[in-house]
Amino acid sequence: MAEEVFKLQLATDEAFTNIVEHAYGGQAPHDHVELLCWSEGGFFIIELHDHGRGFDPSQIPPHLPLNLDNPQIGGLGLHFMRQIMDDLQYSFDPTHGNVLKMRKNLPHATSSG
Amino acid sequence: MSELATFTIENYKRADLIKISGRLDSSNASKLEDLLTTVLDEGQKNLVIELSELDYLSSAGIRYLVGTLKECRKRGGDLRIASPSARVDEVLRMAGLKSLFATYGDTTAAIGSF
Repeated sequence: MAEEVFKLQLATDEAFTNIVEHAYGGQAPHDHVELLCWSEGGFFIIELHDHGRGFDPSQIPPHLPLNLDNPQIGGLGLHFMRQIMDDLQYSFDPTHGNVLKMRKNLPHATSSG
Repeated sequence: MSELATFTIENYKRADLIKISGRLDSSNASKLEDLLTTVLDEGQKNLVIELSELDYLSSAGIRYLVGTLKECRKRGGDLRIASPSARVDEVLRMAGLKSLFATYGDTTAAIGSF
């Protein structure tokens, strides 16, 4: 379980870092990010809301194998999110702004909240 | 929650040994960049990064390790990893980087490899 928690933490960290660096451009101290997580139907769900520039992961091509001539380091955070989570969904909601929902199949996660 | 990263440097004849412990993420990865830039600017081109006590590594830390590896090789040297923790090893595997970095089981072997 500790390893699953570690990976969920990494996926969340990468999603949050993407918002700070890209949605808010790294310089928006008064903007905020909402983070929600809960378990539902055998899935652990992490949802992040922000009001910065939109980011739809489905529009970003898969991460290529890294090499020194073509270090696709910029996309590595998204690559981790895709590797760790079972699916990523982006939507825009007038109230919550950008909504990134990440789901991980975790059958033994029974509590919610 | 583990501590933020701490860095220590030991100078050996063949390479500098840099030990990173704790947690390396986007909040403190720039400190690693500053440190590695200083080491390279001082003329060292062979680095061993010891990661046995690094509990957490995100893409931000990897970015600087790959950038430094590139700089070392450009200067005819290399950056090699010694004794990565299980979590760091898994992160490097997920990143597809295991073949990019030469990795050794302990610092003696890593330093001796130069």
